[in-house]
Amino acid sequence: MTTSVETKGHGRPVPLLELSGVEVSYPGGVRAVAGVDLAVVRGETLSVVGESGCGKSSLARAIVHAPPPTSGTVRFDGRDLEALSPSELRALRPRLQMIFQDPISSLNPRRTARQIVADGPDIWKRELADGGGVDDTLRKVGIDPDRMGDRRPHQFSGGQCQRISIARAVVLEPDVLVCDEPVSALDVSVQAQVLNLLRRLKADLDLTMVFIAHDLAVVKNISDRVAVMYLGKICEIGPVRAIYGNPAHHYTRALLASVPDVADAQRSVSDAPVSGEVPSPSSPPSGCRFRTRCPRAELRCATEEPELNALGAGHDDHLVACHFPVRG
Amino acid sequence: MTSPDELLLEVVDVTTSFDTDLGRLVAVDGVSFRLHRGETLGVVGESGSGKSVLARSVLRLVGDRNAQVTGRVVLRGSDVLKMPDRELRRLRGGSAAMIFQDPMTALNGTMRIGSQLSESLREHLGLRRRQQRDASIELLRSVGIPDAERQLRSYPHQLSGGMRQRAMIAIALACGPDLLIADEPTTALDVTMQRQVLDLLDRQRAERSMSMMLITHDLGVVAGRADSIMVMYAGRIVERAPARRLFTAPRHPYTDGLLRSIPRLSDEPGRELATIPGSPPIVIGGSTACSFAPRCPRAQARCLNELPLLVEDARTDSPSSSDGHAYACFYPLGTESGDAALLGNRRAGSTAAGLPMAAFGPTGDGVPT
Ligand SMILES: Nc1ncnc2c1ncn2[C@@H]1O[C@H](COP(=O)(O)OP(=O)(O)OP(=O)(O)O)[C@@H](O)[C@H]1O
Ligand SMILES: Nc1ncnc2c1ncn2[C@@H]1O[C@H](COP(=O)(O)OP(=O)(O)OP(=O)(O)O)[C@@H](O)[C@H]1O
Ligand code: SF4
Ligand SMILES: [Mg+2]
Ligand SMILES: [Mg+2]
Repeated sequence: MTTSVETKGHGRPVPLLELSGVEVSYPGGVRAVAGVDLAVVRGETLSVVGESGCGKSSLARAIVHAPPPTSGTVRFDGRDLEALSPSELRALRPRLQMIFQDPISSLNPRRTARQIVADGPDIWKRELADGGGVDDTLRKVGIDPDRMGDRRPHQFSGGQCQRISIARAVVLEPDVLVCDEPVSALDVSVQAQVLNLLRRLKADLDLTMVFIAHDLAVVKNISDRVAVMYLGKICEIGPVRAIYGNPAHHYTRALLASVPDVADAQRSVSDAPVSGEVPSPSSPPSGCRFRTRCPRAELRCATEEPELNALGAGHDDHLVACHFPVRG
Repeated sequence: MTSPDELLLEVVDVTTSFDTDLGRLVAVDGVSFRLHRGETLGVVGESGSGKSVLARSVLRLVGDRNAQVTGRVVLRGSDVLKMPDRELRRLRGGSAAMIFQDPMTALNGTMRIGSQLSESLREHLGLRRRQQRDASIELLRSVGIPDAERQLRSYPHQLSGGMRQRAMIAIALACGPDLLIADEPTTALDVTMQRQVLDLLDRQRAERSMSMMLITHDLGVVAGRADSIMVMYAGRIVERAPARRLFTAPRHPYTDGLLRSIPRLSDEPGRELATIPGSPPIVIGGSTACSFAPRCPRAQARCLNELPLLVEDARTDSPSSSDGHAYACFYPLGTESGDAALLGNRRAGSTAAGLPMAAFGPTGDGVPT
């Protein structure tokens, strides 16, 4: 399964995961994802951040085709998931795994930790590299299979349940792991354990991750690249250092200013946060979707939708959708 | 944040326990603190540390048949735990209000949001119908609920989680309470909404000298908002300090561990986070040892045999010894004995509780100063 990293003409690695024009609509005219293009290369962690309701979970589900997007394509390892036959998609599934937000309710309460993790290979009729794959994986996530392998979910803490659901996903040795808010429900001390674990698994297994979260400090810790989403679209995307060090979109800046940080005890809470009401995803504002809450908005913002473009020379991996981005 | 010195609430030695199959579960264990007018007290601690039970104990809302609450809760001179039911009813939703962690349990599912607001406004402020309606709309707007007039007619299940949370805040603020106990008021909200709600609570505090107990497991939330912070562990207060002080000079190893495990916006990406090994205990019966000892990098034999009590910090470099910093630890950070305990454990490779020092990771066991 170790495809070597090929490169296209201009020297960029071929993405392992590629989304183009992905849209997700729900009955009632809600366009939760309104056209997203993304490319993630092998071994990379791309995070998606944004306010509640901006479409992060809808996007995550579209990536693993559960369910498929309303329109647009998702390519995995060069293959359009939509074009695959059901059996081909099934065969591919183990390589494309998702971890859900709520660890406890996503585990079958009647099965033991070992059974839960073994279910994966069973369902996918996959042989594990060696007989001890399940126990090894449990050990990898910090659950001692000999002492705790036969316990059931209610006998574990929230953090332990979350680690079991990670074990269930990684036992299949996936190439891509989509994590939807994997640490939001956890105490900070447990959150740290899970984040460290994901970082280690990424290095050990050369995992490619799409990480969904609303905690910007967590995202900074885990990501290589960050995409900021607003009302169903990406408004800024770039390397983690660029997004945090040099945020160009007014929404990104406002989001960062809203983060309560322990450093707040030392500084006064005075930067401008995002205010105003979130527009409805069924009738987004004309032009720039953020303009109704943007401090910089001008007439042009109401008439012309800004495209996601490189910030400028020397920043070709930092894209922003704004007529008046903040530079430097 | 200066506050008028008038004392509003005094909690003395409150202990709340539940009879369970395992024995007497002590959820809150001898907690004492004071709250002045206009002051915000942050309460932090891991899940299960007793924060919600403490909040409910203060307003005598622990109704469970298997529960026992002892101690004193003096609100403006009268003991909440002893007052007659009539007085208690007037107090709750009047001069004292609570925002619950789970909005669905606090809101009445069969009543429209508007009626719930009106009821509260009528009962405690005696407003007339027309005024009730106007005040209700104004309140919903002030907590950032869009389309407030229409939402008056909504039932709780018709609102999103975040809106429900804000509706409950509106109801709690309806009567202009002197004391607001906010149990995880923003946990269900995203950062931008969280910020708006915290700003709103802070405005109420400033304008009306409302006092607030702000309960959360998110240290970031209380950092910029609380005057002082109490850290709870296994039902006890293990450290209490002015907010700034707690973050810059924590004394208790648990507080230190918590602070280290938080990813910060100012950190470089990719940092290995410190962790606190193990998980918090459930206290059955009384404690006769430090309940943090099994997870503590500094633990010595004494910690396993004796209960550390909350003592005022008597450090010499402090301008006054009465700056309100207290901790419950035999080997605190920033002391000679504490540093010696840590170094000794490092040399031995494990703590007195038998925890290998390697469990803390590269930087997790704290630095001697
Ligand atoms: N099954 C559904 N039917 C109808 N609308 C839906 C459905 N799922 C999501 N939506 C709507 O789509 C939009 C995006 O929802 P989504 O769950 O993707 O947001 P999110 O960014 O994950 O939010 P959160 O941070 O709260 O999890 C919201 O307006 C939501 O109400
Ligand atoms: N009615 C009850 N009977 C028995 N135990 C109880 C009861 N109510 C609470 N407890 C226990 O009391 C302890 C403290 O619970 P509490 O809800 O105060 O924790 P918390 O600090 O608010 O946690 P969280 O952050 O998860 O809200 C827990 O161990 C809990 O299981
Ligand atoms: S040093 Fe001892 S008393 Fe202090 S926290 Fe650790 S175990 Fe408890
Ligand atoms: Mg979501
Ligand atoms: Mg609680």
